[in-house]
Amino acid sequence: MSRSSATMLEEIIRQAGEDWLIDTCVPPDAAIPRLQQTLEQLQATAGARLGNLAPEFSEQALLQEYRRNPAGVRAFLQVLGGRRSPEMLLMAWRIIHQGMELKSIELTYRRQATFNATVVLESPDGTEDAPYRSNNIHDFALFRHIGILEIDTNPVFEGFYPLHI
Amino acid sequence: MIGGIDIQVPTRAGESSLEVAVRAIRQRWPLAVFENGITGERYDEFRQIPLGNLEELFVYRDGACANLWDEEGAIPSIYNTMIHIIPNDETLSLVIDEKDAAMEALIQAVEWGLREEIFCVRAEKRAA
Repeated sequence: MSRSSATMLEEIIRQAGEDWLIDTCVPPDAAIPRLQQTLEQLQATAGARLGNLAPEFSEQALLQEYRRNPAGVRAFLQVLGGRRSPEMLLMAWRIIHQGMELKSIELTYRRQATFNATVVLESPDGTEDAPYRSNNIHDFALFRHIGILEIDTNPVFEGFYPLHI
Repeated sequence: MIGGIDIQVPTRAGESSLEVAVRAIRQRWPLAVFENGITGERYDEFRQIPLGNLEELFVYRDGACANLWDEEGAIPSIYNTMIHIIPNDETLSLVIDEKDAAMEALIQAVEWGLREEIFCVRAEKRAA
């Protein structure tokens, strides 16, 4: 990754007000390379799952999306820094960037035994992604960002929003 | 929008307010199309909406309704097929043609969606 692109990612993070992503990393200099590595893993996962429909996770693409939807990118950055699985990060990005809707969520948890999450997304025209699955407990943090609606008394999880940090 | 009923919804969701409203409306109108209320630019898909750069947004029930609004304006036969959204710092204005049960339910969904604590409660990050 070039020095100029490293600067771009850092600029997006600082402009978004998510400086903590860098400043709380030990050492802070390691933050950007780690995040770049996560983006590369995410790109590979997206390519494997979605082929030529995979979204782009370059820093330029992030910057473009930040200009379109700064709140969405803030939400994405907030989850990017932790120990999340690429698959579930992709799920979050599909909601933020591509407007996918949460069709179903299944969660199971047994203390010191198991954590399993399965999420199905669909587009407004009804097209579904293959289920997003995780047994990484850290992915639970993503669910904090999901919006809650009630439409005609029916439950709806919708949107992926930033926390006020 | 000239005329209509202006409903002010309090919000602390800041720049996410518009998105919450759009996503709620889309639950009722899955084929919704969108138009920049200032420039007239049309967005046929959610992903095209510049959520961070809009002063006003028209949400139409579908493309056919959007075309009718363009051609005919606010005629009674297409009342309540468009919602005009104006986001501000602490309120979100939703302008509709007339109140009916479906529209009131939708507005209530937006109100409650914006009152979720995710938009109101400050979280703190600490160094690991």
